[in-house]
Amino acid sequence: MSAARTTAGPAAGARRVVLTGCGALSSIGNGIAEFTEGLRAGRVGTGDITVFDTTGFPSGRGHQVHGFDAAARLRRVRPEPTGRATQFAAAAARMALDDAGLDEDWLRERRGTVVVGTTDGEVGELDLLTESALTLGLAAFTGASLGRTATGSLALGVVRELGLSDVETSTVATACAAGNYAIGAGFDAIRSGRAEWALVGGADALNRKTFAGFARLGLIAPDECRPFDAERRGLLTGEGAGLLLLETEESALARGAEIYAEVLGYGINCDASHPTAPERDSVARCIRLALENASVKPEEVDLISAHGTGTPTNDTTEIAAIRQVYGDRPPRTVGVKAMIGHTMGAASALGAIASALAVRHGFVPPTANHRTTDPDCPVDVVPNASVDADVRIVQNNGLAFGGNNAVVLLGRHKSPRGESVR
Amino acid sequence: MSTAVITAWSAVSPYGTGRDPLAAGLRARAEAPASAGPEEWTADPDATARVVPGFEVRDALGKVGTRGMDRLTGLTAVTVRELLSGTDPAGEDAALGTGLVLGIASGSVQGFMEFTKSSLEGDSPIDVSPSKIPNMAMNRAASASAIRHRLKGPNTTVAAGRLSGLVALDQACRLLADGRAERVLAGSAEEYSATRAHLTHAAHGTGVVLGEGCVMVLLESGDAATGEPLAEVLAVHHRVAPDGDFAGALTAAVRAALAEAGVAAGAVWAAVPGEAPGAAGEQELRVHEELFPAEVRTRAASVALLGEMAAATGAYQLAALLSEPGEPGRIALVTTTDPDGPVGCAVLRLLTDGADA
Repeated sequence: MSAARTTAGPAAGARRVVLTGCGALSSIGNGIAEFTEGLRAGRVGTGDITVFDTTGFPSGRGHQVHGFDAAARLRRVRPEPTGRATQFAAAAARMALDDAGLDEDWLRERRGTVVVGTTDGEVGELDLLTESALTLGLAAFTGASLGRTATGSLALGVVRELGLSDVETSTVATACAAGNYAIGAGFDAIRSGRAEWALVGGADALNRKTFAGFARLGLIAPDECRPFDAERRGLLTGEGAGLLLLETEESALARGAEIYAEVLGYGINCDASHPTAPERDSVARCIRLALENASVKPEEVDLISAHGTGTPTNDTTEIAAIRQVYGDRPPRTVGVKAMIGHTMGAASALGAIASALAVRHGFVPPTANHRTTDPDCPVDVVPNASVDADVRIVQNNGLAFGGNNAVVLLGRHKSPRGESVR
Repeated sequence: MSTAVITAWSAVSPYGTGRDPLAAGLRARAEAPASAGPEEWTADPDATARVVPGFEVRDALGKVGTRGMDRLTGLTAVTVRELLSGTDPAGEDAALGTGLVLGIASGSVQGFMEFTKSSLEGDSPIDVSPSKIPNMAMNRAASASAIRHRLKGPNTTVAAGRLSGLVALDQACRLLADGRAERVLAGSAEEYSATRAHLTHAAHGTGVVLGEGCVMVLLESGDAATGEPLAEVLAVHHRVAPDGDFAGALTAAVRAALAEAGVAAGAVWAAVPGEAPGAAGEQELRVHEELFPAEVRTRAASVALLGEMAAATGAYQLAALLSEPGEPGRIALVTTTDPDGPVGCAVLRLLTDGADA
């Protein structure tokens, strides 16, 4: 690995970027301790969706965040006039800040960047507005509706919650790869010196609109999400948020921070092929872009946190792309969506956090709900039970509708003196 | 590090399709024509807007792959088509490829709400139109444009309210600087719809006339540009105004952008404000009055001619500068504020004489 890090790549000479704080909201737990415990235990968070009325849908199952008390989690953002996804983003950002052992003043003293990925933004608020408009007519539209339904509200919610100003914000709406896009943007901003810290990740809230779309396409599993399983029947929609606090290696070492992992690099590209189906060669190209950017060789990767939605097309295509890059013996490849559902724009952010936890704590989270691996997905999916393992480098995949691919590589941080910092 | 240069641009605007109608309208300081909005759910028959005249997605793009496509996607795809003017990039698989960064507000709000309405009103909650499902992804406009022209580089959709155009420009410059794309198309777009009108009117008053359209610029690295540079992007800086202090935050953003660009406020030839409704726009005007003399503030066309452009504002500000005649080498600046807090500034060196190509 040390040899790989000296390879002259685009990152040569640039600052190194490390992950020092994580905030997670998911169906298997809120906060990094619960999330870690859930992943290790192979806990499955499936349940009946209650955030909207699922009457009449073929199935009402999904992955909802429970026990989220916005008023208790948020200090500045008021829950009442704020959409659920923005609440999630703001709360997870505060968790990440606390987890990093930092406070708001530290952020205010340095130029920073906040990038939140999302699939739906505050579409849940538009669902409510639609219901109101059907009963109230135009009186449904109030002065607060525009700001409340704006997609940019997610990143702005983070900034408002933490009382920041000298910070650039954007909400990245690249569908279900958005979390990785956000991590990549934060990585580049810090690496190049444009920012000293980044709060990046993704957030989405369950909503009728997206649920109806996936259900209409027949992509929703009747019982459980089973990535790479011969009998997989689709995905389960989920909600949550994953926010990551990134800073320079120099900053983290100077303040004695605990480092989860180093962000080694990433790749993004576009299939430019089909609105909803992924393309093997293009996904493989994105993986190669990420490996090259991170100066990592395929044989150095210990684990892949797959996009792994559990739909027939995604899983077969994704594994074919992985095998195109890794050959006949790809690393262990797991689909955490079996446990937490497809959390849309949060998915690859929570996947990145799961990857970082694997590195830091030395275990591989399992692919839950697994019965028989599909012969067309020939990988070790680590079925049903986590395993202890020495995980040095993890690849985290995000593949989205529209052919928007993003792959992030995280690795165990080694201090400049060579020893592992755990 | 080489800065990014704009080597081409195009638009779909209330003046018509293509760059020339927009450039001519802005140079003439002519208000874009207003007409009735489309007939759709919640439409007010008396509403007027500065819509793209006669724009129908399938007329503009043909029938292939456009069934159910929303207006926002159609406007964006036509702009990308006009910008590439028949020559799709080659060699997309071998190299980093062509990126596309699109700034939006919230996707097609009308499309989202009508989809949910179908779910609520249908015999079954999944009685929704399959042809509309691709629109449900907020990255539809950017990704569909990439599909139509085989653009395989980074494809990014960013949302930052009225800052979306500036943020898209910033992201595009970074993709070039960080070696993640060969060239990048960047811009921002808005569609007119009845629900967007209701949302805007409820927030900012019924007197606001909405505009719609899309502007995209082609960005290349200055040291590797194949096209004739029209402008150099010297700096983009954005931040968030705390508690309604737009003036303070914007002043800081302008000063940061000028410092990064290495130019003094006195060297600015034209300053174009984003003219947001309400306090955000009023305070922006005061900042401009404090920083720039009257002739600098009035040299380029006002984007207000186009109607309230929301997320598309920033891209139209670039168009106003690129189409304004003058000597090459002029320093120009745009600022944008969003009522929800974000404020930003971009500084450019205009290398064009502002005449039609």
